[in-house]
Amino acid sequence: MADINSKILAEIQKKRLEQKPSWFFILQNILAWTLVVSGVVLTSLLLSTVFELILASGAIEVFPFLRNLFWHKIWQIIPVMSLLFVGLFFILDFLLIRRAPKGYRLTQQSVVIILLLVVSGLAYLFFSIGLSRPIHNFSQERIPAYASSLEKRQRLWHNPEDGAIMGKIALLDNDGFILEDIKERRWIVDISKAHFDQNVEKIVGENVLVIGEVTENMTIKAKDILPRPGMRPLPRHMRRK
Amino acid sequence: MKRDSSDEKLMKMVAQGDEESLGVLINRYQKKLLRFISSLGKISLQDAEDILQESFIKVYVNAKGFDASLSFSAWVYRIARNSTYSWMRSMRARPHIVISVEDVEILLKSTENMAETMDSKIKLEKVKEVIESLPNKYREVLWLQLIDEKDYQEISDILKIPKSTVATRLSRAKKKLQQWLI
Repeated sequence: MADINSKILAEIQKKRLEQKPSWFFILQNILAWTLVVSGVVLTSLLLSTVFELILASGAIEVFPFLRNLFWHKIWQIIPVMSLLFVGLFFILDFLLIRRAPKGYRLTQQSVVIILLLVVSGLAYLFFSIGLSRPIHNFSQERIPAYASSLEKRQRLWHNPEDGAIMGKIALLDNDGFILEDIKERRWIVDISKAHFDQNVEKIVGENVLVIGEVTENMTIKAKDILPRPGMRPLPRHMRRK
Repeated sequence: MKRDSSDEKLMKMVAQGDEESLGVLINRYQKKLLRFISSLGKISLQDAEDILQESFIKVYVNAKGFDASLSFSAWVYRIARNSTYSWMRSMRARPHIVISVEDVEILLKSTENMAETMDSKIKLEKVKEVIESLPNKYREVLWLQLIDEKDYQEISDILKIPKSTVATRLSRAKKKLQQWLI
């Protein structure tokens, strides 16, 4: 055992072993943390599209008007697939942090709590500054499964039996308008006692959700006219005249 | 002069290519590490020496990557542990260990109330058998704390697990030992 020392030193000299340069280790650390940061940003972006799907779908605004359907709909508006992807990326981030230099010093619970706070905070920030919108639009255009799930979600709001009709204003006069619903059926909308949401503009072509009471065949007495869920209106100055 | 230097100071010199400092570190750690390597599996002395040699070569090659916020001791134990496990994987060896009776005595003395609660007639051989049959994760922490006298932070750095996990494993390991011995 005494000559282990000389054996090791002889081996180093014999094999002409060289030390790895400092930059190798610096690069390794940078790479590990870059992966962590990229993972967290990506997860936050994904979560921001979930916010986009839930908040911008108008669900929150529409809920108070659809009390009877609340629990039924709350389950249906949750974008399960998107949340699954967020979950997968979350697990990946967790593993990356645990494998990053000194990541093992954090307990599993603290990694999860920190990740939850950072990811949801960043996601909300991305949503607020509108970063989630282009991703949402891109996915809607390029990913058929995403687009069809959106379509299904939008249809959830169309329930003439419950007094909710989604569509666009086809014709307008003083007492009301004709609404063409998403199944291309035309409804006479009585707006004499209706409250218009501030985001809804009384113009032909405006996408709206009419909440009210179906009185007779293809006629609805409107109580509230809301923006159509899933179609966050453009700012007024950007709308086509 | 170098013999009195701290491990971390010596490591700095090793990182500058000073092989003599590496020699001092090898002398300082070889006995402890050989014993630690042997505690991880059924490994002959010859194989343990080979693993030790490989570990110190890794220390030399990776010297510039030594993280000064870790203790050298934790770093070298981690390297030795990883080298042992990769050797075991390559040999498809099972982590079936053989502990010396002297080490069993140290473990017993250090384990809370163990000596009193034990039947005096239980032979050390029996205790040795129990320790050897402990799951790896419990035996490792027990070994590092009681035989190698590492603190929680060092054990956490060697095993790459949080300190709280070290504490939990240690308390469970002691409980298991007590259960089997009473």
